[in-house]
Amino acid sequence: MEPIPKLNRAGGRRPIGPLLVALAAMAGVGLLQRQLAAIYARPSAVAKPADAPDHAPRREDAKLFARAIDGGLLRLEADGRIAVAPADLLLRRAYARAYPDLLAPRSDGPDWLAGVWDSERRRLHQALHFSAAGRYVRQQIEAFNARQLLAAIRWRSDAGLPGAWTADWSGAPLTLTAALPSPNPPFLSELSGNWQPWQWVARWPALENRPPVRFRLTPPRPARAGERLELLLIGGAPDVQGATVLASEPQCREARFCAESDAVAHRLSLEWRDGSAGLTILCAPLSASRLPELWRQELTQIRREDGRLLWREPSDPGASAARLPATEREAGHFPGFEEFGNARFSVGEVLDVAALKLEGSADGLTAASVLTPWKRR
Amino acid sequence: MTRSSIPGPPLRERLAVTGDTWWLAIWLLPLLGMLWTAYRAPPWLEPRRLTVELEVGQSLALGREALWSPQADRDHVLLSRDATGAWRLRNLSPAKQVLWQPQSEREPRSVRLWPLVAGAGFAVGEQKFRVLAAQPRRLILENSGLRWEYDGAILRKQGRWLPECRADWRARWRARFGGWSASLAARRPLRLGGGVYCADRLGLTDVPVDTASIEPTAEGFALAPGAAGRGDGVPIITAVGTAEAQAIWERSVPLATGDRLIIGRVRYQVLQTAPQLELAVAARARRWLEGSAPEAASKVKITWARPAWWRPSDSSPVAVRLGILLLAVAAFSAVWAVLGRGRRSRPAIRWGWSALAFALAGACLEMQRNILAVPVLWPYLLAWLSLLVWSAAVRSLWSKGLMAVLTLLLGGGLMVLLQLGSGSVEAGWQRYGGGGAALAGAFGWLAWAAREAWRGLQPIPWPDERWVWWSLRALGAGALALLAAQALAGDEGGWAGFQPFELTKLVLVAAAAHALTLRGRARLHGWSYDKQAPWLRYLGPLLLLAAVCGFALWFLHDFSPLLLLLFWGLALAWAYVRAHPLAPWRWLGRLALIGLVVGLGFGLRGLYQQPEAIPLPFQADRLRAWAAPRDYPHAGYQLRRALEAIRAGGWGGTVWREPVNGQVMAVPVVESDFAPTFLLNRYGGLAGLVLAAIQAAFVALLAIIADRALRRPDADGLWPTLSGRFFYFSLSGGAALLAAHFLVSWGTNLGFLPVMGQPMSLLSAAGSHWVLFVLPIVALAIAVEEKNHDHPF
Repeated sequence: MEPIPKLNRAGGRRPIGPLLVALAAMAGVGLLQRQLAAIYARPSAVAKPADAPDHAPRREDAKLFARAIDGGLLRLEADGRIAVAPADLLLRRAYARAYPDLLAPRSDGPDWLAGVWDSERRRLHQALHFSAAGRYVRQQIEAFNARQLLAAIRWRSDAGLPGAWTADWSGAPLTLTAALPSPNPPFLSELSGNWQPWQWVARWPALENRPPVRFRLTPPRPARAGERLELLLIGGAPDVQGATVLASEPQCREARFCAESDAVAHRLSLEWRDGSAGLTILCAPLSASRLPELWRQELTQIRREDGRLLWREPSDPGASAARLPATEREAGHFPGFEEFGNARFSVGEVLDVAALKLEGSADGLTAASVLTPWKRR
Repeated sequence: MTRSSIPGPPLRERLAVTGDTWWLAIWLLPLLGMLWTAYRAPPWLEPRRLTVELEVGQSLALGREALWSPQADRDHVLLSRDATGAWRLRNLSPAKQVLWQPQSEREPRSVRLWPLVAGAGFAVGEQKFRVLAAQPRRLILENSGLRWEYDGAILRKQGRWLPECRADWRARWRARFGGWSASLAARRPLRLGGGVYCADRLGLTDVPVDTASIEPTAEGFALAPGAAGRGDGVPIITAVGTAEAQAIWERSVPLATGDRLIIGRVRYQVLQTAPQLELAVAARARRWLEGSAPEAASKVKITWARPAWWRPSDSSPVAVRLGILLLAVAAFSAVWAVLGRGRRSRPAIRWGWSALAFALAGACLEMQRNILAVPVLWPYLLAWLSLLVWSAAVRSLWSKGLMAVLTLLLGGGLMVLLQLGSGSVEAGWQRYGGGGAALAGAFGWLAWAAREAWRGLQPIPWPDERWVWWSLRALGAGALALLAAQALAGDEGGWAGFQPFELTKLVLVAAAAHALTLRGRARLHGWSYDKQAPWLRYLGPLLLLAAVCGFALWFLHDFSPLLLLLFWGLALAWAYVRAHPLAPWRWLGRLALIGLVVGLGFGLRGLYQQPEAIPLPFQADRLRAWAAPRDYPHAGYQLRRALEAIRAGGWGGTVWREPVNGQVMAVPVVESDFAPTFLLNRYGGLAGLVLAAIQAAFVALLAIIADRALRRPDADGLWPTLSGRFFYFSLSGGAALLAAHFLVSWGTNLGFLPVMGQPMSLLSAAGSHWVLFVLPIVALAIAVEEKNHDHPF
């Protein structure tokens, strides 16, 4: 073959430089103009697809929720709360095969290692813990769980001794609020006298077990013997420390005669012990289904019907954030909502979604979703 | 461009005169825009000093409002004075931390850190631990009869080394690295919670993973809440079993003069603690619009100040130092110019210029490091001056054109970023525009220093081919090493403060240009197994390409770099076949490429209709969200916000009537990937069209300069052989990658491409992308074109 040493230089061609510049500019402008005009012309920023003929969930969060329940990654527990498969489940499964002796002892909760495991469940677990939609679903579950238990206390001091209530749950501090979750049920409103406002547990932490709640009353000065007080307590049978129980009367939702096993509340008459610096009441929280009129299901997108868990599409009017008690929105305890087109988003996602680092990769072995404030370029 | 396109002397002179006027106008245009932005900036008042008065024994909860910290909780810290009058601070936020840096320490740490000492005990949930020993690199814990030892990297249970938690290549490499030398191994926190015992995780029954962590410190180890720990979640109790038992959330720290604090991303420094507590607000506080309704009175007194546009604020020693340096440089150059007129030799003048430029580059870099401490407009001014100097120095018509377009793009980008900062309610946003300007200025001045030094050193010959090739190999190896460092020690945001991926792109462009140049020199064209075909030499860029693709897929988990590379590959193939000496190759090659592009277009369309068709292990949601945005409100969140902001801006934009930025600031990464959204929202769709036109002209000018480099004869004695082709392929590749960046970024912002994560060149705040990729390409184009101009063929 004849050697051809040079690239083709095509000398003497016509000058097309300025033409090229003009053409490139026109093409760029034309393409962008079309795109922008289309966006401005649309009635909403995101085009709506044609309505689905079936009623299968279309939104990613609803799909993820339904599939995770089918796949056993979300389980409804006896106390009404939803248990979420732990973030390190993939690691636990890997260790159960390779190093069974390096698994931490199991609690009484659900056995996540039992049952079938396949690539679909693996993918779902990944999505549940390491995607924006999964984060939203878990927030909703947390909000749902935080309302599945009830405990509250109300008191009056016959001796006029004031005091402030605090509460904790296995050491985790609980927020108390005076606001009733919904209109007073009749049996709660039939009190007369100078009763102090209710102290409701506003939100329940995501503890896996269910220890008793500890209410603590601290008066400004040590109590004197003979000073009396009365309590009304919503929850299981109370255990009182720091005062003598004079009378304990179980109260039921409706029946006039009330057996201890049916009780949802207790009315206590107490007498301070001399020099007592505080009063402690331990009682088990009540499952919210025992007092349906106080059950605030409407505040999350998750609903329980006939023992089944359903995801409510946000177009349902019930899911509005406006119905949240102001204290909960302000305290940041409840994932806030923000209207955006036809969907609602949690405020916390605004800055974090972009930076949500999917650390899991194929193994999904870590729970940490590292949030970087900004990217370096 | 052939000779006929360059006008003859009279016309050229005429063009030169009008050209200079035009050039000055173009240079002034963005400068005026920037000054207008500064002039129109809302009348912000920034909190400079907070003064808190408290009686002994009192406490006060402060949060978002009182601390002027937009990211803080409503009640974030509790300040109290104990019986001795000393101040203490406690973090009240259930999930966010407060960082505290005592004056004597170099790194800030959480106020919820509890140092572990031998004999101490703590509890996480119902699990109690006792510390048997706590020294640097040696921690021994005891829990329910089990003995745990941790050296800062790997946990031992009853003396047995535990395996790595994640069995991926990175962990294995780290483990091996740690095995070689314990002192080199990266220390990492031991995370408590979860269901597994492994190298850096101690599982606990009924405790969610990462509830607490044990951090290595200089003195030993300290207990802290983990990423999943919450004040209202599983309790973490320190000093358990003693009278001092306390939840870790309730820990407080003493405040002393000189201590630094970070609360909700705002930085403070304690100025004095008696008779009242005085905090200087160092950076990133929320601002208050002068004349608007005053904030509700709180127990905190605030000293207000206007933003420092030109004059440094009193609390900024960095700015004062820099100001002195700049004044000294200006005085030096004035004296040099006046005294040395006509007397000094040209090399001496060049060295003087070089030193001056070097000092200015240093000043720019110092500003970039302390961008929030220097007056807002200083870095912009230095960047502008470097643009002026460079624009005045270039002689070729095409370089002048390129400089003009660069000035408009860079100037426009900096103006937009200045507006991003000046219109933002939070003071810290100034760092994006200022940092970008400082880096661009540093690059301009460094290049100027190098140019003057180079010309002062002449006659040093043009580096020969071997030198160029060896430099390329060294650069390639360096780029791969940097990628490896990022993969091992960095994260997807970069390594050691910058993004090595940008440098790798530049090296890939050069290496591919080298290979294609060799291919062009090969005596045989077309496919051949002839020994003279230097196949082995093509392996370099292919290896680099494979590394880059692998890095993008396995480390970044992102396919957007692959789209850039695809675009680049197509453009490079086009550049190769269009210059091929054999006509069949030229025509068939181009036809094949057109066919391929059309096929890719159809493929993209098919993907839009059936996003499930590609089973991706990652970012599959991105494809689905692109195809059906309404069904993916979470995965498509950024795009929804961006489109909403773009629609709100309309063709005209909002900046003309409303100087405060507004809702567009809620778009995630609005300063970087979504900077075009900011532009479209604030300046409107028409400004977007003008920008697109300038971008197209920028790419076209690079392509033209590349074409001119190709048509230099080999043997005219002025250039080393082959350089023309090397420059042709380098500049073509660079232009293609820039075009791909523009296209992908518009596609990200307008939602017509299923990609994300790429900045828009010269608009997004992306310092590494500017100085490691865009500006070097422009510098190469100008150097080549100037050489071409000085030695016309």
